[in-house]
Amino acid sequence: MTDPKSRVRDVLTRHGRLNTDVTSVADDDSLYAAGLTSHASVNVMLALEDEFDVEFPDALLRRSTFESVGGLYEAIASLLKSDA
Amino acid sequence: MITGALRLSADHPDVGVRIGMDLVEISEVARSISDFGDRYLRRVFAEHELLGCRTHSGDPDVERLAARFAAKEATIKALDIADATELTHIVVVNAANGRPELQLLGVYARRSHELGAFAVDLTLTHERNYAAATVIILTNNCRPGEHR
Repeated sequence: MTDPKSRVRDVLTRHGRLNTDVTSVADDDSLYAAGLTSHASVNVMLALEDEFDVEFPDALLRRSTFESVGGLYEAIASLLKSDA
Repeated sequence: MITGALRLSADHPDVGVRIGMDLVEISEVARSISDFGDRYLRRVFAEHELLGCRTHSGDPDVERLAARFAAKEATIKALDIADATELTHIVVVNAANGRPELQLLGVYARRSHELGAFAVDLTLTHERNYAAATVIILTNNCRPGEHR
C-alpha cells in the first residue's frame, strides 16, 4: 500500500487546486502560499476523510491543520492512531 | 487622516472598523457538490442556508451558496480569527426586507464579543463565474495602532 504521506499528496493533487506541482512542495512549505484556498481546503478535508476512512473532528478543522503537507499528515496519523 | 464623508476616526474616536472580503469561483462550489454531495453541503452550510438556497426544482442554488461561502470567509477575515473552525457557525440569514444578515455562533460570537462589536453589515454579489461578499464590523474598542 502507498505510504500515507504519498496518499495525502495525491489528495492534494486531485483536490488542492495548487498553483504548483505538489511534488515541488516540501513537507513544511505553506500550502496557502502554494495556492490552497479556503474553499479548496474543505475539499481536501473531505477527500482525506474518504481516502483514510476517518472523520475530522472540530478541533482539527482549523487553518493550521491545512498549513502544510506535514500538518495534514500529522492530523491523519493522529486520527488513524485514535481509531486503532 | 480620513477625508471625505466618513470621518469615523475623527468624529467617533472610540469606534473601530473591521472589514473582510472574499471571492469564490462558483464552479468550485458546483464541483464540490458534485464530488462530495451532502457531506460538503452539511459541513459548510447551516440548515437554514441550505433550505433557503434551492432552485425551483429543489436543487442547491450554487450561485447563492457560493456567495454564502464567501460571506463566511469574509467574516473570518473581519474577525481576524487565526484558526477558524465550524463554518456552519457563521450563518447568513435574510431580514424581513430580504437583506442578508449574519448570525454568529460559537467561537465567532465569542470573538465578536471580545472585539466589542456592536454593528455588523454584509453584502453579497454573484455574476457569471464568481461570487463575493464583504463584511464590515463596527467595534467599541480600537486595536493597537488604529487611528483615533
